[in-house]
This record gives sequence, C-alpha cells and structure tokens, in this order.
Amino acid sequence: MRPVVLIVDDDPDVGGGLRDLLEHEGYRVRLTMTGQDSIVAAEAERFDVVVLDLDLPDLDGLNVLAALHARDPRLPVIIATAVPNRKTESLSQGAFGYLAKPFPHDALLTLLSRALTAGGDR
Amino acid sequence: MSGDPGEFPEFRKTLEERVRELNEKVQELDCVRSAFVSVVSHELRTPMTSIKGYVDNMLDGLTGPLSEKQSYYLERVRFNVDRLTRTINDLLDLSRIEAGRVELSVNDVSLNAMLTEVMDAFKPSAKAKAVLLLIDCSIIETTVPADPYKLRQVLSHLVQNAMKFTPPHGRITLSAEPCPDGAMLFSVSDTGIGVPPHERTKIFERFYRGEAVDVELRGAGLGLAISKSLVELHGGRIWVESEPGEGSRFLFTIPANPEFRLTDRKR
Repeated sequence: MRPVVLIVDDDPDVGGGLRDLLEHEGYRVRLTMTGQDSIVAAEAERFDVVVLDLDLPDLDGLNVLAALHARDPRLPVIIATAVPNRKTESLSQGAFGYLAKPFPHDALLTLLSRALTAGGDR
Repeated sequence: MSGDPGEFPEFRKTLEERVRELNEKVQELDCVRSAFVSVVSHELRTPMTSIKGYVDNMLDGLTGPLSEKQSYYLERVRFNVDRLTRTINDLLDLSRIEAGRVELSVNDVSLNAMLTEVMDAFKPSAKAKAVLLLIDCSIIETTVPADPYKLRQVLSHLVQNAMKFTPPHGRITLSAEPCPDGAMLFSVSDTGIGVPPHERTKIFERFYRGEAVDVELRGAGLGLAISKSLVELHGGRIWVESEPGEGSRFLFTIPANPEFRLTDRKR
C-alpha cells in the first residue's frame, strides 16, 4: 500500500512541483491550499504524513498543526515554510520536522521516510 | 537660573511626552522593519521554491530523458537559484544582526559533530570541483561553549569562501585548537589565490568584494561580514593570514565563556 501524503501549500507551483516529485517517488498525494480544507481533508481520509506550509490564506499553519494533532496526536507533520525563524516554535509545538524553503528534494525525501518509520505503528 | 527641568513642571512634562512619543515611534519602526524582512523573505523564497522544485524535478528525470545541453542549462538555473537563495539568506541575517535581533543561545557544542557536519555539507561541491576537504584536529572529542547554529554559520561561510577561491585539486583544511587563555581557535585554510595585504581588513566589511574576484564567483559580499558579527557576538575575533598565490588561513576565536563576555560587554 503506497503511503498517502497531504501537502498543504497555497502556492500552486510549489504544491504542484512537490506533488509531481512525491508521486514519482511512489507516494499517493492529496493537495490542499487552505488550512480549513486540510483540516476537512484529514477528517475524511487517513494520511500517513503531512507537509504543511505556515503562511496560509486563512489560518496560521501552527493552528492547522494543532487541529490535526487534536484528531491524531501521532500524525507526523513536516513544516515547510518560507517565513523565517519559526523552526524552534514549530518543533516545540509538535512538528516532526522543519524545512526552510527553498529546500533540496533529498532533505524532504529523507524526512518523509523517517516520518513514515516513526508514524508507521499509529 | 538652574538647568534642572524638575523646577519647571510644564517643561518636564513636555520632555517626558516627547521621549515617550519617540520611543513609540522607534518601536513602531522596529515592527515595520521586522514585518518588511518577513514579507520580503516569504515573497522571494516562495517563487524560488517553485523554480527550484520544477528544475530539480526535470534534473531528477521526472519529465523524461534530457539532452546534454538541456541538462547543462538546468544545472546552470539550479546553480543560480541556489546562489540567489544564499544572497537572500545573507541579507536577512545581516538585517537581523543590524537590528540587534540576534541573540546567543550557548550550548556545549561537540567539535567532532560540528566540524564533520560542516565538512559533510560541502562534500558534493568539493567532489565536483576536485578539492580535498580535511579536518585537522587533535582535540576532536572536546566540546566548545558556543551557539551551535551561529558557529555552524561562521564555519560554513568560511568554507564556502574557501571553495570559491581554491582551484581544482586544491585543499581546504578545517581545524580547531585550544588557546592558552581557554578560548578555542578555529581556522579554515585553503590553497587558493590568497588575499593581498591591503584587502585583509576590507574583506570583512559589508558588501566588499575582493578585487580579483571573477564575476562567476561574486556574491553580495556579505558572508565574511556576517561571520565577523557572529564571532564578535560570542566575544571572539576573526582575521585572515595569507600568502598571495599560495592560499589563505581564516582564523577566529570563541572565548571560554561567550555568555559572560556578552554580559560583560553590555555593561
């Protein structure tokens, strides 16, 4: 069974590029562009890992992280953001990993693979 | 007539109000500056992420085989996107340093982990350029009290700089040794073009770029200025020793107790 990744990013080019990459790497991908849509998506479907932007049009990404964890505390969420200086805050609020945009693909793939191992027995 | 404003309640009140107004204005400007940096950072990094993402996808073969020329063009796009990203990050770092927003978070940093991590990050570019990267440290098991993120930034800037100026088949050596006063002396040596005597102070100034620097190697001239600020934030100092044509050795110290030095300087 291929792992399912939810990508939350309001920039269609960033999200689209990541979706192509992850599908090529064998993941199934869902893409949402707002915080609210991603919370709704997580209620309807079980994701193995989430890649979450922080600067979303409707909600701060860390509020989305809190909502996702309220439903499933062990869901691994990787923050990927272009906003500077939010690493400490993100990790202290339970993010599995943190990537500052732009990041090398290898960094994301390594984190995803670690997240799947860590969240595998959920 | 005395100069004490306390004797003139009206005058004193006006002065206090003026000081309060100016303080509010300074705080407001600081908020605007901070918001500006954050917005600019986000608005520049987001399009760079999509450019880099699509270029990397093509180079990773997602869109099918590439001709030699196509690969070359895409490699050049990737190289320049990475260069632009470094410049943006440097500008943001400098902006934060100048705003006094950078604080030290001192921990015991393992020399072994730090030196290895920095070297590992440069292995791909060293391999591509056929440059030998070495660690020369007899006290590798020691720890040094420093802000690990900032120490890594300084060492990375210095290695990045050495990579720029070291020709193929050259050598870059990263070392650390204790000083008699308990400070740690770090150095990054290269076998590059060297720094002429009249530039040895200037190269640490913001936006200064060496006279002998090729267009291809030019950055914004910020890496060494940022390194100097971060070293001085620890209470250390940074300098360069060089033999033109034979290489350079950038050295910096981290004192035994950076936090104490920092508090001491603020007094």
